[in-house]
Formats: sequence, C-alpha cells, structure tokens
Amino acid sequence: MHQRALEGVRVVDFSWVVAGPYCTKLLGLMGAEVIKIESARRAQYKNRGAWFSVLNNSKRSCTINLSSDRGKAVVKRLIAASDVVVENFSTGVMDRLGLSYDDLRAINDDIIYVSSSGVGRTGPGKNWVAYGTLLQGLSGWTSLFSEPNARMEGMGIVPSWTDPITGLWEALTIQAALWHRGRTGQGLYVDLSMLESTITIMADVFLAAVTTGSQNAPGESISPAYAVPHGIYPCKETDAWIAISVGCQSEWEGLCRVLGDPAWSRETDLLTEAGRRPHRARIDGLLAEETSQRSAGALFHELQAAGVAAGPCYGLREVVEDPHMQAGGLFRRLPLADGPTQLTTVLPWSDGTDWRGELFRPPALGEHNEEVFRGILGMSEQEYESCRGDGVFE
Amino acid sequence: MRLQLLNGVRVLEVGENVAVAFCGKVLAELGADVTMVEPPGGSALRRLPPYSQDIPGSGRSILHNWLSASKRSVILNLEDERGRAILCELGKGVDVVVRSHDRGPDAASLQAANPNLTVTTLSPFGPDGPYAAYHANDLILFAMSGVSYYLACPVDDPPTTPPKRNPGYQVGTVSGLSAANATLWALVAGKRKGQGIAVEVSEWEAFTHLLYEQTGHLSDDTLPADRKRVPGAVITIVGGLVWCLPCADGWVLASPREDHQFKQWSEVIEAQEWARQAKFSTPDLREQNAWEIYERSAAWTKLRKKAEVYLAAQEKKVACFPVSQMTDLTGLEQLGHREFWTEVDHPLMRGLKCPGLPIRADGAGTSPSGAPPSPGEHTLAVCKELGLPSEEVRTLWQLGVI
Repeated sequence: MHQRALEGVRVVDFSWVVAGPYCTKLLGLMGAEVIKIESARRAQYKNRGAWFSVLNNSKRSCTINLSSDRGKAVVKRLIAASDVVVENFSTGVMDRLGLSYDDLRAINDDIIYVSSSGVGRTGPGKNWVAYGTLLQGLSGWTSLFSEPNARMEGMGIVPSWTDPITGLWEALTIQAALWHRGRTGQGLYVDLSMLESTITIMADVFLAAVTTGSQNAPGESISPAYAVPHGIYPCKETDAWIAISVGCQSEWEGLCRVLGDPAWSRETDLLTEAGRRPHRARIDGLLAEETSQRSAGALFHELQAAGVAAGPCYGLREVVEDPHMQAGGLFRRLPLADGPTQLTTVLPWSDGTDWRGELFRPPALGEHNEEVFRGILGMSEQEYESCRGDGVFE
Repeated sequence: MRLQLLNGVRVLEVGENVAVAFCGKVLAELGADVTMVEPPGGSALRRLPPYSQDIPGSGRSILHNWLSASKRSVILNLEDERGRAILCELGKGVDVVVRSHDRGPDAASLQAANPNLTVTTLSPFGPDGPYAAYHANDLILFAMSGVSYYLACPVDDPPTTPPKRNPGYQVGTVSGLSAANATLWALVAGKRKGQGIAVEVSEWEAFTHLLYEQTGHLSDDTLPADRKRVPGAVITIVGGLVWCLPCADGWVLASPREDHQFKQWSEVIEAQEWARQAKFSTPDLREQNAWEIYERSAAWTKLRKKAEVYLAAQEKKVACFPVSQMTDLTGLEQLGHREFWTEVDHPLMRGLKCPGLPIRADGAGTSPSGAPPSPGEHTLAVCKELGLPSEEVRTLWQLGVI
C-alpha cells in the first residue's frame, strides 16, 4: 500500500518518556517498523501509564539487558540490519554502552542516528539533566502566560509543550535524512535540542520581544491592532468561554446582528474599525456582558453563520466529542490486548481517504522478542534460548 | 546556514498565513528550493509586526524577513484566470505545492496539470465536515484545541479565571511543522503510488494532536471534570513532580522526581536528613508532602541567585533551570556555543539574533542562507524558466497578472 511511505525502514528506538516516543509513533504510523528497546530490569519501562499507550501505538517492543556484553552484541546485530537509531538518554550513556554514532557507523555505514537531548550534545550545558516541562521555563514559554508562582497556576507548565514539539521536529528530521540517504546513499548524525525546538516554534514571539527590547505582559501578547474585539469572553454555563475575533467591518456587523444590535453597538464612535480601536477595553466589557447571557455552543454557531471567527474554549473531552472532530477522525478507539479500548490519535493529516496511519495497539514489554530476535536476526532456537537463559532479554 | 538534505526538492508556496510560510521556511532551511507566490503588492505577511525599529513599511516586517529568508518570490494575480493558469504551469516544474485552502487553483486543478505533484493544503478545519467553511485564526484554534483551557488548569476559581489566550502564531507554526512532515510523507507515498498525493492539514487537528497527555487521561477516565484546583494538590506532569522556587533575582523550576535525584537535591539545599525520613522515601509520599518540600527548598533558594541554584542542582544531576524571559535567551551561553542563532541577510536585520533550525547534522552539506526577496524579485527569472515568450510576459505584466 503506497501510504506506508516508510515501509521497509527499520527504526531501533532507545527513546523513552515523551519526545522520542512522540516522534517514533509518527514514524510507525507512516509505516516504519519501530522496535522499542526496553528493559524489564528498569522501573521506568514498566510504568505504562495513560500517556504511554497514546505515544506507543504502532511499535514493537524488545527487552535487552544492555549492561551485559551479550545484550550489547545482540542490539548491535539489530542495528546492523536497521536504518535509523533514535535515542534520548543523558549525554554519554550511548558512548558508554559502545553505541555511539562512530561505533554504529562502523557496523552500518549509512545509519541515520538521531540523538535528542534537553539542550544539545555540545556546549557547556551538554550534561545538564532536563525535562520538557522545565525547558518550557528555560525557553521563555512559561513567561508568556503568567508571572512565576509557587503553585504554578496558569504558568504554562501544563499542558506539556516542549516534548511533543520536539517529537514533530524529530520526525521531520528523520524523514529529511531518509530522503537525503535515498539520494546520496549517505547516513547522518543528528544532534537535536529540545530547547532550540521550543524557541524556533515561537520565533514570532521571540522576535517581537527582542525587537522591542521587552516583552508584553503575560497573557496580553497578541492583539492584532486591526482586530477589535479580539479575546476570550464568558458564557452562560459555568466556566464556559468563547473566543471571538473581529477583523473587519463585515465581521463587526455580523457580531452586532447576532447580539441583536445592542444600543452601544450603534454609538457613532464604534461604527468604524478606526473608531473602535481606542475603545478596545470598553468593547470587551460590553461584549462580555452580552456573551454571559448566552450559551457558548449556540453562540459559536450563530457567530460563524454570521461570518465571525469564533470558537468555544474546549477541554479535551469536548474536543473529542465535537461532531466536526469526530467526522475528521483524528481520535480513534483501539482495542487493547486485555480487552478494554484505548483512545489515541492518528497522523495529523489526511490524504482524503480513510487511511490515517498504520495503527495498532501499543506493545507489552518484550512482546516482540521472539519475532525480532528469531525472525529478523535469524537466531536459532538454541541461541535464542541460550540468550534467554543468560538474562540477555531482561 | 541551510542543511542540504532536501536539495533538488522544488516547492511553490501559495498563501498568506504563518502556517504556510512556516512550512515553506522549514523546507527551505532543510535545503528545498522554495518559491513564494505573492499577490500584486506582496503578501499580507509582509505587513505583520514586529517591525524594524517599530516602524511599519516595506521590508520592515522582522517576522516576514525571517520567514522568507532563503526563498524566492514571484508575483502572480490568482484572482485572474490567467494568473491561475500560470500557477498550474509553474506547478509542472516543481515537486510540491504548499498552499492555503483559500488561495489559487485547488489540488485537483494543480494535479490535472502535473499528475506527479504533491499538494499540501492547510486550512483551519480541513476540507470536509460541519465546520469546513467556518472562520478561524490562531486565537480561535488555540481555544478550540483545549490548549487555552489547560494553560489555566487547575485554578482556584474557574468562573473568574479565563482560559489563556495564544501568545502568538503557535497554531500556525505547529501546523506548518506538521504540514512539512505531511509533505515529506506525501512525496515518498506519491513515488510509491506513481502519482502525486494531495494531503490536507487541518490546523485544528494538528494543534490538538499535541495534547497526548490529556488524551491518555481521557482514555483512562482520569481526566479532571473541571478546572477547579483540588486544595493542597500539586502539579505533576508526565508523572513527575515539579517545584517552582523563588530566588533572590527570579525563579527556578526544579524536578528531583526520581529517588536518587531527590537525595541529591536534599544535599543541594542542605537537608540531608530527608534521606532518613520515611515521609519522603517514595515519589508518592513526596507528592503527599510536596508543600513541606517546597517550604524547605524555597527557604534555601530565595537567599540565592537563579544561576547559583540551577548550576548547583545541575552539578548534582538534578533537573533545574531558571524561568526565563524571552529577552534572556540571547544571553544563554549554551545557545551561542551551539551557533543556534542565525542572522538574516537584510539591511534591517543586521545584528539581530534569529532562531535557526534546532538540529546540528554531521554528514550533510550546508549552504549559506539566502536573503529575503523583495516582492516579485524572481518573477522574470521564473517566467524565463517556464519558457514564456518575452512578448507574453510583457502583456501579462501590463494586465497586472504578474
């Protein structure tokens, strides 16, 4: 099937937690054969919590004891028969395991090796311990939403941002590296920084801050000068809110029509775009009074029917239940091995068919040991059992 | 510097929004040959703030100069039938068109002229479904994705605490990055099929895709029903405890989440006795006693500067960083050392540190980044490449088509 664009691409995936798995999930959906290298000896691999199953669809899992020489030899055999290696350990771990780029290039000269880390594998911070959440603080992302506070209320610590953004950059880099290898026959070493991934995705905000020499107050960073009103307004139901953005005269007229042409909307000052601009704060207050009398769902559709850009502030439950989102098919329910179904996502694009990626359930720890070691590496039963007896597959 | 990974991939970029331009930007930085198709007078993106010295005007949009570096520009009036026909002609000479759903010929028309063409179309809600014709911008899609909501969750009093607004064009940039992924996927899938693929990116879907953690909680039925803070609860994310601690000159974030990290942290803040106390002995117990840990940690950190705290913690292998302002970033030695910053080759961009690609690649060639083009700078060159007779070019120019 042509949609499995990465069919035949084997990815040896040492990555864990979020950024790497987010990337390799996308690769798996695109048809790559992703083999997670895990270990039953380490607690972190046993914790298969809620988000694990969202990020690890469409992959296989092998357990290898990398602290044993036989384990290292087995994983090298697998890499020799693979195309891509992905890892996000602390700096130096892969070197100590004898799995550096130079080590692996010696056994597979066109290997694509992607090493993802908090701030990069070079520089004075290369040994820093980092998590995506904390990098959201270091990158300046959190400063866009609130002053720092001990309870981290409204600070941009949640939702997780740096990790999935890094995953998108990483998947793109691997696709570009595969394209390059297809053209030149050459492999590639990639040193990907999560901090840099976060800064470049908000280049617009960064450039605005450094150009003016300061940063707007948190939460007030964008109000296009031409858009009045432009903001989030309360609705009738408890904690229901609607985003409304009026960018031109016809949208203003649409808004007024939906609101039943309130008296203030006919004030001379507010009749033109230029006239409304100095009255942004007052219009926000008047509009909030109107929206708080109305239901968010009904107002959303009425405003859109009148040509006004508007949308409710959803939580994820509402997103998933939304009829348009359901029609699009981004979220899927997938049966798990032990009975229940799991909610997950497919590729964030569509080719106009029902195909949205090669989706299969996340693997149990070590589920594919036999398939990979016997099937791909061609181990005899004797060798496989001997490795197992030696604890190589723990 | 541009990487030479996508050398030989020719891309037309059609549209006047950040998502399309960011997609083109990323492909150009990875080595693709990207040509922007702009309307007469130039793209609306050329008028986006921030401006050089805060003065609007031609060539003064810092954001556009950054987005369009290393691209070429042609002017084409896509409101005119002949302009649309020329775009289809241009499509014969390229591999990819990245387009906004509301500009120029659609994917079917482009592929009728070039059946091998990859066409990536971006739109707020995708081509089908009840909201296909709805209007949206970054504010609206940021809100509808759930990101506004979770940025203000949990809070003490939801009815008086609005969800957070978008800080900038992040729906655009994330969608552009997803569209670049989609484009490379479609290039390969199209080769396998022997026919170009038309791929659709809904910006709403692309942005919502980021909420993997909430998706997991919804799946497990552990997603909170509302935004109300549970009294005394602390924030954990992806299973790890995080503390935000005051310092003499600002704040740091610290996350000594594993047992060994917590032991190290207790040494950093001179609370070694914690190692012997059962109430701090597991992650679950530390979560229950998180505020006690906070108080003791904060008493130590607030007497010290951010840099002293985070470097002491990192020395002990504890994840800890300062909370930065955007304007702090250019001073970070780590970024300078890695040559992350780039300079755009334009008189008004001199000396301005701009973000580069987040990757260093050994094994790929590099080439210098190109200057951002003036509107239509390459129109004549591209007409020539198309083989349009100069007589016809002159007529089209007089008619305002090019």
